[in-house]
Amino acid sequence: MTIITNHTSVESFIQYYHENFIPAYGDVTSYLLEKPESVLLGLENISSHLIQFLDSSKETSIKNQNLEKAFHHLERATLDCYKILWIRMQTDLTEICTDQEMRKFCVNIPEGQFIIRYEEFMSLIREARKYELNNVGNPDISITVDYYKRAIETGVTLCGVIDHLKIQDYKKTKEKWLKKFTTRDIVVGIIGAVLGAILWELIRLTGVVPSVLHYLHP
Amino acid sequence: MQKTVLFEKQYNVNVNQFNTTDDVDRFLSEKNGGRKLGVVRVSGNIIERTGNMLPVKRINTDDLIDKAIG
Repeated sequence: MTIITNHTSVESFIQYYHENFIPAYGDVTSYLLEKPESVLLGLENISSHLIQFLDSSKETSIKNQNLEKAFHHLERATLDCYKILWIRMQTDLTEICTDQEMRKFCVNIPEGQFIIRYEEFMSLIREARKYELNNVGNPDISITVDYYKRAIETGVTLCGVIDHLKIQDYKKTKEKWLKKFTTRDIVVGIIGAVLGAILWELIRLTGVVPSVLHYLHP
Repeated sequence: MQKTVLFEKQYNVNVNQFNTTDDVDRFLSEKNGGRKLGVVRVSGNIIERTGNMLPVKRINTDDLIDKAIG
């Protein structure tokens, strides 16, 4: 349930847009190099409410309610930017953290330190989520945003120690290695099966099997 | 003081120079070889899907119109 409070003015809306939303949007798009769909949907809602606010045929109370709703959508879009950024960052960091070779050879800090910082990154998001869930219905989500930002800051530090060139090399080598072994294994398997069939046929035709069975069970 | 956690440090800019999302998109596009930013759906259990009743369909209008008029 959204609690509507009447504190939004055009000035505070514009200030929030510049001070909070644009920085959050810059952060998420610079990491993804894509525009997140849910944020765009949030902006769609904002523009609908702002048009109601600008409509001179509407009563002042209706206009103000719409400005208030637009403001809440803007806050949620800002929070969504950080959540999306965290999700993507976590996916990337987890890929490294769960691969022993990668966390050993593709980061510029000792493996143990990387794991400790990753745990810190995860525990900060748990705190953020806990705070968020404990404050459902609270119209002021600025503290929740700060919690998420703190978690992301830790993630940014972690991302800074990753050697992306090494990761690229590692992935290419692993892929080549897997391809080489898979092809070799298939060839060896086919040759083995053919040889086995030939050998079995030879044994059957020469009548060796009954002699061996007779020898084993006289 | 930096307002962003990543953007300003990564591109050595001040976010106050950017007034709209379009400014950010254009800047990032220029910095990344002119490739326009696409739209991506990121899901996870920490993102609420409130306010979005209908599914989103992507339609390349220019492409469809060009195809229709041959």
